[in-house]
Parts: sequence; structure tokens; C-alpha cells
Amino acid sequence: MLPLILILLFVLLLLGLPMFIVLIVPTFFSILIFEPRLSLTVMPQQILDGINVFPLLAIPLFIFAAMIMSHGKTSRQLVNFVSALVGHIPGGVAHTTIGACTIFGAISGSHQAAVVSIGEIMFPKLKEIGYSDSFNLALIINSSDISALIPPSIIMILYGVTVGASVGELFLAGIGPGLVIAFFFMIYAYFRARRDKVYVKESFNFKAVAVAFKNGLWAFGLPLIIIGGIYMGIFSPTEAAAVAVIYAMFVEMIVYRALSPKDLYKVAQRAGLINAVIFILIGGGQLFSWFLSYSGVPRQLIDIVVGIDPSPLVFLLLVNVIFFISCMLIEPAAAIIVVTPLIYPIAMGMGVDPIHLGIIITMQVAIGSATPPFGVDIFTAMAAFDKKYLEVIKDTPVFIGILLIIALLVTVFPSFALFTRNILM
Amino acid sequence: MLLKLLKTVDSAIKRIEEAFLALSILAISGLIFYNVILRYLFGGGWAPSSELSIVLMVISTFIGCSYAARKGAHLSMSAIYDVDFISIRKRKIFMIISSALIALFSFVLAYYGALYVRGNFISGRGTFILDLPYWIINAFFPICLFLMGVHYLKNIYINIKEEELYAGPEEEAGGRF
Repeated sequence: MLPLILILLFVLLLLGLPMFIVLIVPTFFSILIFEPRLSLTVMPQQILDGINVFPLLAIPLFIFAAMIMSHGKTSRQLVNFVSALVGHIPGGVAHTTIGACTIFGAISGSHQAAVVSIGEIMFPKLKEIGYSDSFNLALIINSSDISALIPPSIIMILYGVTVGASVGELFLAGIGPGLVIAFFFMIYAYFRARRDKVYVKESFNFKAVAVAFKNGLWAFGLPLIIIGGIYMGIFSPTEAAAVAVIYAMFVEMIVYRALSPKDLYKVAQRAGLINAVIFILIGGGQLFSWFLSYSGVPRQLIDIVVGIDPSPLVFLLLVNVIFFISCMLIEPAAAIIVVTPLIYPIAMGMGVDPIHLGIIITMQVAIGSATPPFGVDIFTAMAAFDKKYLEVIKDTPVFIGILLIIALLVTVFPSFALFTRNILM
Repeated sequence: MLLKLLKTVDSAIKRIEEAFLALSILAISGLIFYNVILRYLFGGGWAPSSELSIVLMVISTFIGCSYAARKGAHLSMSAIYDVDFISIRKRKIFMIISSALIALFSFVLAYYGALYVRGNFISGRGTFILDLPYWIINAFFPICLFLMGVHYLKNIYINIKEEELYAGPEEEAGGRF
């Protein structure tokens, strides 16, 4: 049965069928051939069950909030503030991109949203100051990965819902590794700027920082509400997401006056489309994952792993590899829903902290989606900036190298992976 | 004459889909926010708000599924259509094969979805708090998957008739958001 499933997955994936159909078709044939006693109405039933989950509502709401803010003035205000702060350091424009992606991560749950909204502002500025297109694109797609670790994060919500771990704890834990990555990217950008002799035009000006901070104040309120609210137990992640939407509407429509009710309607329509496309994928993933566990695949995997008896560290390194590879090939959301239930019981048997596992998976999902050949961010960037595939991937290796080293540290030292959670809780 | 009628029906469905997608996400935000406010100001939430939100999300998932087919916006691995070392002709053939498969499986899913909804109808079960009948909520599954299949059949037709590669009127394939 497994060979049939794998071949079908691969062929349909390459043909470019929608990901949720790619997951449903192998299940359909496997039930038909190997489990003829099962009624095929189990397909709609599992798809509907997969969607009918209240905590998942945090995902569409965070996406909607982020879209409102990137259509309005918020992302530009963030860029201006970060630019005033770090623009004078060698590699200043690159630092601004990295910093803006990090802060944008705190208002948006989607790293693809960061590619488009920060990328569109920063790409022309990077080009103007003399960086090559390949470096700019690599910088933008890899910096956007940071936003997957900075709360709110769609990947973390999906992981938390799939295994029943605390989304709030995942959010707090992600901040630490996210900031470390941003720091190392900035070091690389610094040396790269010196090597390529890219100079900065601006000098540090305290007054400019103060003005930019004042202008961006409303935008900074959102991370405070989200992280503070969840941290102090005022609301659940889903409620925080709804509050974020209302806050974003208030800031963009009333304070900045950057969004008319008509614009809001357009943004809502677009958000509705994106949400539907993600939710149907979650439904397909649920069906596929249910069928795997129905036919005893997780049990067989546990037996194999127990037979080999690896140390927890070796196992976690393997988890890194599995997620890195699967996210190069398929949509991150699908990878989480399908692969996590296979790995989670084994990890729990070894005494791994579920939050530690979540951070490892989130990191690899983020890295995998910016990695050739098929990382989704690459295609997002190709579309958003109208560039050729090879140009987008040419300068990615150094960034991916940095990310992989940090992923290794996160895996080997749980105390490093979880330091922000341990400090804050 | 028939074609014109189909076009009118199609654009009416499109309008309804767009309005539902936009209004439901706005309503979900409002419902959950309203619940938070009630809880903090008056000490008690409005229980149906979470149930209504999730019902709206389920319905808009399927409506969006059909709308995404119209726009070519379903998440997929579009690598072979994005690279240009494969000739347009070959890409067109791939596109026709994949559209045919998508249409076929959309109809298969719609069929089993309809059987499932019939089961819902016979059992007459409703949601926990408001007792909204499940068969009405779930009926969007077969209806919208059927519409999705029809859109992909249309893609095949256009790809055979026209010169260029066609994935939807606004070519948004490849998970771009």
C-alpha cells in the first residue's frame, strides 16, 4: 500500500494538482483497493472534521489582520522605524530588511506575507544602493523565515492544534531563536556589505528615530496586544487574532485613514480566498493523516524506531531532516498535518518536550520553504518580483547555512531552543 | 442563447461567492471580538458566537474552494508551469491532463459528499447550541466541489481552443500570498 501512495503522491504533485487533491487521491485508491469494507463517505466526513476545529480559526483571523496592515500604512511605518534605527550601520538597507521582516513577523503569521509586503518596499531600496538582485531576493525570502518563529505564527498554531500542545507556550518559545537568526543574518549582511563595498547614505540621527517611533507607535501596539494578551491569560490565541483584526481595522481606517470601507471589503474577499485554500488543504491533510493511522502506519513506525533504539538526539536530528526535505517538496501546512502525527508519539515516548519539538519543526518548515528546488517562498518571490528561478536561488546557500547551524543548536540544546519561554514563564 | 444564460448564471454565482467570502471573515472577526468584550465587560460570553464562527468558516472554505478554482488560486506545486525550459506545448498538455484529473476527482468527492449529506439529512442531527441542521451546512461540500470540477472542465476547453497557457482568469497559481 505504501509504495502505491508514494508513487501517486509524487506523480500528482509534479503534475501540479492542488495539494489537497494530491492528498485525497492516494487515500481514495487505498480505501478502494485495500480497505473495501470502509465506506468512502469517510472522505467527506474526515475532511469536514479536520476543518471543524475552533482553535484553527486563529489562522484566518491572523491572515486577515496581516493583510489589512500590509494594504495600509503599517508595513511602511515599520520599515521607516527600523531604517532610522539601523540604517547607518554598514549594510544598513539589508539590516533594515532583516529587522522589518522580524517585526513584521510579530503582526503577521505568514512568512509568505512577509516576502510580499516587506519585499515590495525593500527590493527597490536594496537595488538602488547597489546590491545584486540575487542577494536581495535571497535576503528577502530568508529573512521572511524569521517571521515564522516570531509570534503569531500559523505554523505554530497548526502544530499546536495537531498535537494538542499549548500555542501560547510555542509563541513565547519562538521569540528567542527568531531573534538569534535575525542577529546572525545581520552579521552576515555587515561583512557582505564591507566586502562588496556597499556604502550607506544615512548617518544616525536620534531625532529621526524618535519621529519614526512616534509614527509607528500604533503599529507596535499590535504585537503588545497579541503577546501580552496571550501571555497574561487575557485571551486565547483565537481571540487574540480577532482582537488583532479589529485593532488593525481601527489603526488603518481611523488613525492612518489608509483604507476605505471599499478597500476593506476587497481585502476581506482576498483573505477569504486565501483562508479557504488553506482550510481545504487542512481538511485533505486530516483525511490523509487519519487514513495512515487507521491502517496502522504510526504503530509500524514506532516498532521500527523502538527496534533501532536511537538516542533522543539522533531521533530529533532525523526529524530535522524529514521536515527539511518534506517542506522543500510540499506545502508546509500539509507537511505539518501529515508528518507530525507520525513523529509525535515516538518523541513523547522519548521524553522530548512537545514545545521543543514544535520549535524544531517550525524552524525546518521555515527553512524548507525557502530552499531549492521547490520551496514555496522561491515561487512567491518569482511571482512578486518577476524574476527567474535561478536568479532567486543563486545567493541562498549562505543564508541556508546559517539557518541550518542555528537549527542544529536548537536541536542539540533544548535550553537554547526554549530560553525565552523559560524566562517568561 | 444557452451559452449566454450560462454566462449570466456563472457571473451571479461569482458575485455570491465573493460576497460570502468577504462578509464571513468580517463576521467571524466581529463575533469572536464581541464575545471577548462581553466576557470582560459583563462577565459572560455569548455561547453561540464560537459555533456560528466555525459554521461560517466551514461554509466559506467550500465556497472559497470553488472560487479558487475559478481564479487558479489553489495551493499547488506549480514548478513545471513556472519554469520556461519546458515548451508551452508540453506545458499545455500537462495542464490539460492535470485539469482533467482535478475535474474527475472533484466530481468523485462531490458524489461521496452528497451521499454523506444524505446521511446527515436522514439522521437530522444539528449543531450543539443552535441546533442548525448539519445537512444544510455540509451540503456546501458537494455543491462547491461540483462547481470546482466544472471550472476545471472549462480550463480544459480554453486550453484546447486558445494559444496560450491558461490556469485561470487571473493566473494566481502557486500559493502566492
